[in-house]
Amino acid sequence: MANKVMLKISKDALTQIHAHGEQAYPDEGAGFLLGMENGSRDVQAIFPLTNSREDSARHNRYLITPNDYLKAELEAERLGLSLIGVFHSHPDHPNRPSEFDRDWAQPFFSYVITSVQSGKAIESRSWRLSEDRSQFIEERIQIN
Amino acid sequence: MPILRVGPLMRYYIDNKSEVIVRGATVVDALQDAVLQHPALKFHVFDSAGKIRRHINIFVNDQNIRDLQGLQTRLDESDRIILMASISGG
Repeated sequence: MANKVMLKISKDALTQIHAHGEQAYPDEGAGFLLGMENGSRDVQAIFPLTNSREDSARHNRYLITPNDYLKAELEAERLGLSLIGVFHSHPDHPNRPSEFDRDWAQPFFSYVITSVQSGKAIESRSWRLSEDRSQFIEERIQIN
Repeated sequence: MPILRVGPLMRYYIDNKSEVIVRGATVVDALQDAVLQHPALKFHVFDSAGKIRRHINIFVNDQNIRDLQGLQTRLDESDRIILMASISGG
């Protein structure tokens, strides 16, 4: 799967993801990726959300509530798009998935992780969980 | 009849559809009917004790059933039941 999967995203959407990570710093910021899948997976909009984890855990955990999930699902439907993934930031940590990320991830979604160092978004990488849940496999990001 | 809608992460278990028409006068009846139609859904919605898994949240239209009458919430023919999983990471 590693060489076959790719996530296409506009520069504007990626900029919004970086801005959200910087605004949330030193906490983690998160939201949904909205788009379509026609051979390749295309991000056409993002849906930034408030990190709903309790204060003491927000620096290294994020939570999207079911109500926010529903709002995003309805917004995607309104736009004629689908939820195709989740983005979140890693404040002062690399943009690799943690074990906690793997525990909670699902095979279908793309997981875009942005490293935010000292409040500045550095780089994003995207990952998908393997079907057997044993590992994340990186998918190439193509910026349009 | 009511419609059961699932989030993207659960569509795999209902033949890659987003919605299925269900029978039932209450939410629990509708869920049981959905499981009859799509048995793979059972493991992902109910635990071994037959209770709804903790990370699964159920809405009727746009209201969480926790704010209604729970699994015994009564359904109208035009209601839409929505299953959503919580999303978390670190």
